[in-house]
Amino acid sequence: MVKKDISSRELTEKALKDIEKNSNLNAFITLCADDALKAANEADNLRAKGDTRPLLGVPIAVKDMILTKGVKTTAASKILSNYIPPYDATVVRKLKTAGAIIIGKTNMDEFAMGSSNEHSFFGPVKNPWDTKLVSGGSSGGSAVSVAARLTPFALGTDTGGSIRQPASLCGVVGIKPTYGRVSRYGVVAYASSLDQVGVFARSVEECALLTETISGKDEFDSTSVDITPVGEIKFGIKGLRIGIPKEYFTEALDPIVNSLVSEALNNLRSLGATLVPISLPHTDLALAAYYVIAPAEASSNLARYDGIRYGIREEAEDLFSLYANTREAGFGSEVKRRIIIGTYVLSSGYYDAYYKKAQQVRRLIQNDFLDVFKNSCDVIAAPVSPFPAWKLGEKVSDPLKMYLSDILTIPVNLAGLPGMSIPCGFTSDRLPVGFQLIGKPFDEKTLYQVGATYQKETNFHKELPPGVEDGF
Amino acid sequence: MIKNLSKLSRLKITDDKDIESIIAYVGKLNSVNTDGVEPLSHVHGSKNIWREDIVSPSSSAEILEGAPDKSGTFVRTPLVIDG
Repeated sequence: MVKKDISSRELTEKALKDIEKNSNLNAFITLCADDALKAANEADNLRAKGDTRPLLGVPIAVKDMILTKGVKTTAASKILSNYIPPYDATVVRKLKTAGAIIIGKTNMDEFAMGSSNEHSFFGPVKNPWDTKLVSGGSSGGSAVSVAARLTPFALGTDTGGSIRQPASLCGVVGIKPTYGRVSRYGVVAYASSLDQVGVFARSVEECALLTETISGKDEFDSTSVDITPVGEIKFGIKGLRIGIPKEYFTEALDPIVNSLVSEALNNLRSLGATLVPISLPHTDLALAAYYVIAPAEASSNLARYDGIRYGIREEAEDLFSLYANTREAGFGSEVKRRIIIGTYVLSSGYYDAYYKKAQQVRRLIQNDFLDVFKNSCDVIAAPVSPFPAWKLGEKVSDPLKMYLSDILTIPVNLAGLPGMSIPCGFTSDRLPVGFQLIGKPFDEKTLYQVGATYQKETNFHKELPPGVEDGF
Repeated sequence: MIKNLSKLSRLKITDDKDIESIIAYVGKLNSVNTDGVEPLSHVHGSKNIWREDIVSPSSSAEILEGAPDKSGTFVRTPLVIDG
């Protein structure tokens, strides 16, 4: 599918060269040049023997949140800056089994906590459409790798929008599958009830291929689910009911985003879909519920970084100081902030008022979605980020302002649904904007159907950032 | 308060104004009536999932590789129990 008359070796060499040439984008933390070239040679041999697997020999970038055996995996944190995992994440194992080539590990917000990729120990990722702007986050490096055509595919993770938001800001397709569709084994844990691995690519069809490759039940992740593979993508959306949630089109939405997303909706209507106005009344509470639940889970998950078994250690006389010194030196400010918030909302006397309350609100948010899917529509369409990419440094000193960029993606994680961002136009400054499709649980098939049908009629996903050529 | 939380979470932060404004923001949850609403901890309603207790091999040498300080087949730490 991706390959024309080019060998895997050539493709891999080109990717490595392009990554090097575009190092100013800061999309990668670690490159796996030797292993990748070795794997490319093997792929070429297999292909010569008649192996036609679609991902055989195709270079893929992997977010540095995902463990790769023998290859440094840092989660963009100082505390894991020397960590070399002794095993592969299930998704990496599945990619290798499919013949794909892991070319390198992409930059991200530390422990996936951030929306701009400015919270990385390795520095911010730059947006290829304008290098003075943020890439979005937390999977910024993966989004940029595909947007700048450094690699045709990338893996990311999405806890509150970390795939869909940078996909929108960088002009590529990004999918967060249904919670449980993809194994989280070997993925650094941030907020376990929300985290999900997903993919970036240029087109919906390519995203579907990669998502299907990494999906499936895994004995090492008990929350993973046995699902039927999607199979062939259906084209055509005649008669499909697309819900348009009024709570996602408020005055908080940048007018240009509103107008580009509305244009995409009109396009879907002209392709035969019926647009149905719907209401998701608890949307306004999603951000608050998320900033209780995610930090609570993070404060517990990140307790493991203690300077004892792996990662860096700051020596001290006694054990308590060793823990505290290591964590103080190893974590960045946003990570510490969320650990403190999580510790607060879980502490005795506050648990019911915050954590239990947030879980109840989470139920209300999920019910909102399940109700409209039962009664009104087959799929939902909405904006992704309320605004296009912003200037580096603009929001970094005001966490609450930064959090608002995920206000339209977070509800999908709280409800465990599949979500996808698809390029739908450009601002007058030529910055890409995406629209979001939200599906019923495990109904990725309809997302692929709507997205692929839309992309057959539009060319936004084929536009390239300045100076970029599409060699894939 | 932050000083105490900082101690609980083995950090050294003593002051962060942003934390207070975030806590104030999430306080808006208390404006919602959630009487009788079942808390949602897992989106698909999964409960405990059991598996057979089967021993499978793993390499302690590989795992020890990552430890900052070790002695033989052990990870070394400062004194844990005094006296």
